[in-house]
Amino acid sequence: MSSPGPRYSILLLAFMFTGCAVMHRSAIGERDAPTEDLQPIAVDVSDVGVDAQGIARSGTTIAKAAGRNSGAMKNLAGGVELLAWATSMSPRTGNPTWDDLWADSITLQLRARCPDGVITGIQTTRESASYPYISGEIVRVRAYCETK
Amino acid sequence: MLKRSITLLLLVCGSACTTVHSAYLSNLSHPEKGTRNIEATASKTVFLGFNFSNDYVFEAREKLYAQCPNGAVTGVLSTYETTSYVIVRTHEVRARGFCVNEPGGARMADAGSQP
Repeated sequence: MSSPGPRYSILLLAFMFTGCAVMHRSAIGERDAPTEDLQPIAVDVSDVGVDAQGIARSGTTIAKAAGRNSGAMKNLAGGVELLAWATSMSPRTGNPTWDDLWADSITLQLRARCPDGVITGIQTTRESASYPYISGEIVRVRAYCETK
Repeated sequence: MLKRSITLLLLVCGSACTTVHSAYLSNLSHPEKGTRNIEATASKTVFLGFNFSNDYVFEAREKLYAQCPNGAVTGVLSTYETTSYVIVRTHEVRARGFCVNEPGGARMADAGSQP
């Protein structure tokens, strides 16, 4: 009889790489009285978020286990964890990303999908797809393009 | 003693904590006269936090607009709420607004499906 180890490992890996969908916010806007054709349009933008505190915590645990008798190693690990905490302690939505410009193109992308019409009935959501240590930070927009 | 414990446990399990995560109010672009209240909700129940899609949130918008096929929808208050039971959490998007009926409306049915 074969060992169940590999099977559990595959299951664990599959579980780790299945991202949980986290909803943060949703906002629905006005919709004009429809006069002509309304075409649904969609824009999704995203960036990679990094869970620096989680990485530091795991690193500290490993470093402490590896250097059980080394005070210097423990101090270094503690310092890294403190640094990660201090640089990401502020209130936030999802995980920090490298820059805050990744969602800026939404308006242009919406307009590109509806160059000659009125964009109305906009719903915007802010979501995350969470994986171990990283996440997809997502903004999704659904709207209607009203062409006259 | 056992009965009391079970009752207490049921009370704890049955009571829920509700959190409003976001609330947005859009413009009130039309006067109150002639408006009609409309409301729609979309929700999803998640067991042990395992949730792999948030597409349900767009249903609230579709349902809200469907109640006002020929008019303008204005003054939309949309909230995202969760209600937590012990191992189950209900996620809900609620939208309330006003339908301002205008003649000569059009073909919302064409745009009924979300992209």
